[in-house]
Amino acid sequence: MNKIWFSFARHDRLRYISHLDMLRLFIRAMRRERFPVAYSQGFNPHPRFSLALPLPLGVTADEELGEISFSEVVDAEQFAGRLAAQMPVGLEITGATCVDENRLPLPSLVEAASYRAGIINEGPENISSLHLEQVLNELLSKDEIKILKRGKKKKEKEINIRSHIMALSAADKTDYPTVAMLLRAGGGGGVSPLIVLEKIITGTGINEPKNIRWDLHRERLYTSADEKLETLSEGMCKING
Amino acid sequence: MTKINDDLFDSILSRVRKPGQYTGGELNAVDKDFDTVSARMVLAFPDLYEVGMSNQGLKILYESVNSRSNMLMERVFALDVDMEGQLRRHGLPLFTLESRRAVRDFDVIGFSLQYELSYTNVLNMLDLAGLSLYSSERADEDPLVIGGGPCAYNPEPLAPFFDLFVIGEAEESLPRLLEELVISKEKSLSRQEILVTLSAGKGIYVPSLYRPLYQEGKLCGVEVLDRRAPQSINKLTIPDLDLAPYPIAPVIPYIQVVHDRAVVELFRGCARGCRFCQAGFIFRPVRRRSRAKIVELAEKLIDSTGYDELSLSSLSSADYPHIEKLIEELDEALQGRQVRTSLPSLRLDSYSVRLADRLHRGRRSSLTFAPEAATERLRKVIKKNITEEDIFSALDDAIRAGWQGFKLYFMIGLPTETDEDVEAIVDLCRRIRRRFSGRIGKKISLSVSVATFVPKAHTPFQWEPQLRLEKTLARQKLLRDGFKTLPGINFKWHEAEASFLEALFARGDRMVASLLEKAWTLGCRFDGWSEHFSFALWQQAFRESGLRPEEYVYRRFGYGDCLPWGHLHCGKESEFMVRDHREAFDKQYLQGEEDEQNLV
Repeated sequence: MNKIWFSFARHDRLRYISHLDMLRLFIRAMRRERFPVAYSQGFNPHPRFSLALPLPLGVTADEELGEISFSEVVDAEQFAGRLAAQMPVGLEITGATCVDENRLPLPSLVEAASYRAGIINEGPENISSLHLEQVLNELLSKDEIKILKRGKKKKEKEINIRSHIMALSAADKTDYPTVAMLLRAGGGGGVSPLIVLEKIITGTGINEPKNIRWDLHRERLYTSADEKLETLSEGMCKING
Repeated sequence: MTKINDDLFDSILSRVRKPGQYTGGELNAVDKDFDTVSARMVLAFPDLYEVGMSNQGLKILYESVNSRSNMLMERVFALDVDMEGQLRRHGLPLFTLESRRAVRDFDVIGFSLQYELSYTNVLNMLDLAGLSLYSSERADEDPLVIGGGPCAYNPEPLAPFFDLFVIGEAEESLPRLLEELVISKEKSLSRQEILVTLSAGKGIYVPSLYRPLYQEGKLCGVEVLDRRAPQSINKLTIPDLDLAPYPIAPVIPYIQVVHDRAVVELFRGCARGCRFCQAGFIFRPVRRRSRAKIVELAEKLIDSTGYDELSLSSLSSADYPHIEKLIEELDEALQGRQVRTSLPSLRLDSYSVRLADRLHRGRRSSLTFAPEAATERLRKVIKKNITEEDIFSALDDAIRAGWQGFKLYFMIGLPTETDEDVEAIVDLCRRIRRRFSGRIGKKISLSVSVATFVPKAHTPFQWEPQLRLEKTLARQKLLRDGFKTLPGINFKWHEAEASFLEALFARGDRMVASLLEKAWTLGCRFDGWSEHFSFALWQQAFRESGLRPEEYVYRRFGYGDCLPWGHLHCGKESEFMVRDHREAFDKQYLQGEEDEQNLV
């Protein structure tokens, strides 16, 4: 067995597909290339393949990671090249490296993710960068930011997402006001960027939130090393080095 | 030329459900230069992407046209209601997936007519495309609107909206039709002249060249309005499946669709002759694909798509000769590729169960069977020749082999059916439940789905009326009450009102067209989807259009009556149909006094 991590970027119309669509797309591409993908045991064997963190529908990304196990040795560089040739416009393979097969599964390493969200306002109301900054600071000064989450058995539960928000700031971008966010993510708990953005829009007090849409982009995925955050791709490079 | 700009498109996509269905750009989708090809066609599917992209016919036609370098076929599907709202709000026209170009910029729009309850979507798509609904109101420069598929075997309810129908299997003739169209256009013929020219081709029906004649409100014949048009139209049949075009690199959807897998068609047509089954008759004669060709296509398909499932399709897969040998050869060819093979449309007998076992080593999820009727008498009437012994021994074998789920399909409203036949469905399921005591609903799931019989054109039951709506509802209630006493069985039934409408369009004539337009105007869309279907709106349409649907749905045609589809021929001699229809009502299969009167 050998295990490969690879990184990729997602742009353009490929943003409109779901996490499960992404899994299918990659698996089919690898099957077309006839890579010796390893399958799980049991009645319902499935390929040993996962993506580090589901990418929500509508979101573009610079540096996502995937993990795939093979039943035979596959050269990482060759893998990246052949997989890239199978990718549609909008998906770009940016690197690959072999990792120790006993290494923890990639999804379990993810602890945070950073996002950049452009606010595209298609209504007449104005949201200035200054105002936006006030809203963000206000949110950050709170101890509790509560949302209703639908739990098991369709019961709604109130949860506090404040601790999942690690950083929020207004970023300068010429076309439209932009928010930069660092949010907890992964198995240890986290919050969807869309929920935070909804809170921000409510905070601006604009009357027609329907007129707002997001140009939402995930920049990096983070894991922790020596009690500090480092990007997963740094982790990937270290393995290489 | 109209194209939607990227910013607006993004803005729209951010506000609709499943935006991935509108983006196009999938693997194997064509990217041809619109301006350099000589013929451009849109294949329009009047249902959602997830349904249309599961249709094998669509993939075959896409291949047949796009494999010609001088021709282009792009796709468009019905827009979900939220997307329709967005397009209308922004004043945008219906556009194709491939080039995001307005549908009306193409030479031909070809509708795939699979299901009567998608007819309002056809009108809606024409309207969204910015075209007049009526053929007679469209201009010379508008695209030709053509239709094909099973519903084209009775196209009359759609006749005024279409310029032309292709009757039968179009994969070989469609490119020729496009070529002829190009030649006619080069000669600068008028739209009318072009249609007359095309009408000479086999399988081509130009409805505007035929006028239905009525006597006392009843159809009594068809007048041919141009001497160059044929008196009657014969369906197209491809002679040899091995030589027919086949999509070995079909478009692979990004988003999940209903049937997302590689498909190889084993054979076309079916020799069983179940009397209710339209597919069984319109696709005759039976033509087989050779084993070698099937294996070759399967390998190429898996290579080009990366699919992990291969479906061997046909109307009755276990009827393929030497199917076990075929499965062996496929196993060998696809060894180590982690491909599961599936056989849809299995008969309920031990042989089929053995085949299924052979295919599903390891995973044994669920098996689907269609006994259709629960009494042997009624099964003989419809010519579904399986015995109760077959049913029980097949289930025995399957459960012993470890299958954990079963789906059984039945129909109610079949000719000669009585309440006892309907109660027999419950009774049969009760006995199945008893046989596998304690396991049904726990380890073994059993779901029972009951549809309503819809008499279809070109079948031996074409003369039969549909069971009256109130009777259908009463029999559904019988079933519901019966299944209440059988906990653990998941019972589902089809909406009776929807089947009523299906029958109206399946056996309607040209008069029904105005009702269709009325219903569309009132807002009917996606009538095959229970969340959208509104019978109340349809009833309003009946009132406002003055059409009495009962006269169509409950009418029993006599052998001498003129059928709305009488000028279209599908190969089977009408004497055969009459004989087969008579045979269904052979005295030995009848019971009770009601049925005696049911004879034509």
